[in-house]
Amino acid sequence: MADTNQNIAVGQINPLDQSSLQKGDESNILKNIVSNETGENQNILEDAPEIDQTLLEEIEPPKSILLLILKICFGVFCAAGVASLAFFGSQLTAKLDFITSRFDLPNISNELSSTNNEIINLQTSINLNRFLHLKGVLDEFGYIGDDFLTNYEISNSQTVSSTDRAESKADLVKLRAQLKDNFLEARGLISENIAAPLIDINFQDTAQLDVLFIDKLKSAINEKATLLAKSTDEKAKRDHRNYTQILSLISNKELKKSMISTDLDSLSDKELYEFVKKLNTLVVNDITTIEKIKEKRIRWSDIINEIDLTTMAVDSQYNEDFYDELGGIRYTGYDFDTEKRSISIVGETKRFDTNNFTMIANLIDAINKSNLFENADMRSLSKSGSLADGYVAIVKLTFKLQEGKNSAQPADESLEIDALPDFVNN
Amino acid sequence: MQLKTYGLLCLILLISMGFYSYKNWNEYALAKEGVKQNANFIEVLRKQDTEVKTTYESKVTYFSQLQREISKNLEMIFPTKDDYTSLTRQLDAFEENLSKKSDLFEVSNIDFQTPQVKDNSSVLPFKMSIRSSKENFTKFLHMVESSGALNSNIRLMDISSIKLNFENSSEESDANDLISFTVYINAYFQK
Repeated sequence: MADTNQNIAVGQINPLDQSSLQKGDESNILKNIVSNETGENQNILEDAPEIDQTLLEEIEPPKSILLLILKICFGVFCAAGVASLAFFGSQLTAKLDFITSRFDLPNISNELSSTNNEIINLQTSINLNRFLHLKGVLDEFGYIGDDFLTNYEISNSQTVSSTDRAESKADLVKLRAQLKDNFLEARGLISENIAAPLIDINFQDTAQLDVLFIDKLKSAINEKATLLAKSTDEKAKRDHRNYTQILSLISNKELKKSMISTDLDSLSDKELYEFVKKLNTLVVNDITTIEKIKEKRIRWSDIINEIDLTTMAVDSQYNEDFYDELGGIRYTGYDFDTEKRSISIVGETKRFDTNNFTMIANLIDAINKSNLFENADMRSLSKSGSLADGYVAIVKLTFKLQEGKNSAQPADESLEIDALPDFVNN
Repeated sequence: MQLKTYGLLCLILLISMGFYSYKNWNEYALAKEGVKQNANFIEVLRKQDTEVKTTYESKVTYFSQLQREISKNLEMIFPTKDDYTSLTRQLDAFEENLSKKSDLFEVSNIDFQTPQVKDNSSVLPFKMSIRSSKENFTKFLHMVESSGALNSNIRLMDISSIKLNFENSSEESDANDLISFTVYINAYFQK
């Protein structure tokens, strides 16, 4: 019963306690064995080795060095970042100008801007002198051109004497050579670029650059013109007029295009005459105002001559003083109106047959076929007389000058006026 | 843990600083190159400016003379006021020049009217009554048609209208060429 109780008691012990108890028993056994065998209190195993702390030091530090390196790197990167910000901030922006200016440090952005401004100023100065030069050359071109226009009109007029025509033709040759020199000089000046390249992100487009330099040039000219505006001195007045007229030359694309695309050598006299007139419409100077007035003028001598020629086509004896004997057409009056571009002619036809009306009808058709006239009209016809004395019919014709035809310029230059019959050349 | 944090911070800093620096360095390098190029270009422009100025200045005297000549001629052909007295003298001189016993040119009347202002100029309208031979009539037309040429010194004019009558030739054979005409002319002057 006591064993049973002991077993029960044993059975009630915690297995872990039981194990430790067993271990205690085993250690006691080992202790006894050792003590019995040596008997001199000697240890079987040597003393436990001492740990070399220096070795540990060698093992542990790598972890802290990396961290240190990272910390150093972090510090360096921070410093470099600040330096980078400071450097680029001072070079590319104006935010640190208060420091850089104090220490007289350069700012590359300011330097670029400053050199760009210098380029703009220099190019504007070049443009100003170039346009002043161009204005002078175009004035000369207009002056010589005026002479060329006058001589061309005389040399092609059917009503001036052959001597005057010959003189004008000779002058045309000299004037053409002068015009050519002048034209080439003007073309060289106007074909130069008005803009200079700038290293600036805002002016990468050529059109924007052109606008910038045109504005700068206009400002420079206006500035000079303003200084002279109130002056009473003749030269100052002339210079002021020059400056204001130059403004119309700047950005005159049509003028530039016309000058660049024209080969003066290849132009006939007639084409050169038209070209000079065209330039007069594109350029503004003292001469162009009067050229515009001249352009609208009608050469009535040419018109009268054309009426005579047209009449001769119908009446071969016209103007030959055979009217009373042989009949024909005779005018008693003309009425010309420049504003309405209308012409009225009054006269009579005399026939020793009965065909007066046919003659008038032929005259109407001849006038309408002319290169200068249109709308000739006469719808009421009457005649009187007899076969013996001849029939007389009144002519009362009204017609118009064709639009844009103010003179009888020869359509074909190969047509030599001197080669025309005497009655045409007077 | 600390190691990773620092590593990450370093990486972020390196990337952001690298990107910022790279971007700005390009801009800086471009600007620096630009300044260098501009400096060279400025030298070229300075030379060009001097050349252009010298070329213009070598001609400025000639241009001034030419302008004075043009202004002087313009004063004759396109005066600043109506200047009808000078025009009258000019017309009288023309009549004197043409008129011969055998070749008639008689101005019987000149009637100046009120000046008018047009777009770019002013106009002095006037009327003339003339009796003339046919040849002189044509010369008169030529004179008006070529007026205003800068070298001619003849006042700029144009014909507004002409009313013309051929005189009856039945009695006098010499009178065959005679024309009586009334011409309305515009003489121009500056606005």
